[in-house]
Amino acid sequence: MNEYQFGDKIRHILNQGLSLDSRKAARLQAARELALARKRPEPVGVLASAGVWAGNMVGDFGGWTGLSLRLLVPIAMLLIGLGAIYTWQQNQRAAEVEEIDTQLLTGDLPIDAYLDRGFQNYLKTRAAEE
Amino acid sequence: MRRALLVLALCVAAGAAGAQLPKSKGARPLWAELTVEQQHTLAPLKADWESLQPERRRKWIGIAKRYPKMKPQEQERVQRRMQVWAKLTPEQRRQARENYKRIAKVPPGERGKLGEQWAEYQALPPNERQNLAPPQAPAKKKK
Repeated sequence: MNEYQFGDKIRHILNQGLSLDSRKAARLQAARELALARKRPEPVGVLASAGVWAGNMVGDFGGWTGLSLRLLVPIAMLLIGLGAIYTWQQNQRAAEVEEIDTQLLTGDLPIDAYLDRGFQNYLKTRAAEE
Repeated sequence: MRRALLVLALCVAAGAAGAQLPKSKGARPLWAELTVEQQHTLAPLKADWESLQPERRRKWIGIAKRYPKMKPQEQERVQRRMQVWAKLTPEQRRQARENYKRIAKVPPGERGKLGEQWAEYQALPPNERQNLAPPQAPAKKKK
């Protein structure tokens, strides 16, 4: 029996009238009400669906308290991490500057030599000649 | 409540960022807070110390800590150059550091000759030295 024949058969039975006893009718009624009660409300428009989405998210995270913890803790950790990286970089830079400045202050060449463009070019020319 | 928490978190973050901004007024350590040894080493900077920003103060304290391990000749150079160095503009210091980094790349054997080369360069006639450093094109036009 294919789908069409099956549908035709049901239509035929229904046309004859459906006779149900009161017990079956009551069970059907209860099942329908249960199904309706479980059905989620239809989202209406963008705002409403956003509200439903947010509600689902909050529900998934275990309510607003859960949301605060699950959202704020990673944000706080991220901020602390970024702060640590920034501080480390600053320290690295400061150490590098201190090292270079020490070399500049103690080295054979006077500071003027490092500021003299002519001398910088002189060194380049000499290096190119050799 | 949750918004308040979020705002609080943002304020803390902003405060942390703001705390990193340079400020020389009320910066530490004060000259009086340095050890006697540090004050002795950094004496040429005493007059300018209060105008130095915190990171520069920390750098000088770092150099003062290295000072006892330096050779006498190096110590003498530090004393002589300290003030000159501190009086340079930030741009000049940046330029000098950059040039140092480039010069420091030459092999150690060559580096010994740098003093000699500086003397040779200074012995050049003024016009030759000028040729090596042609006046820079004006960087910015006045608006």
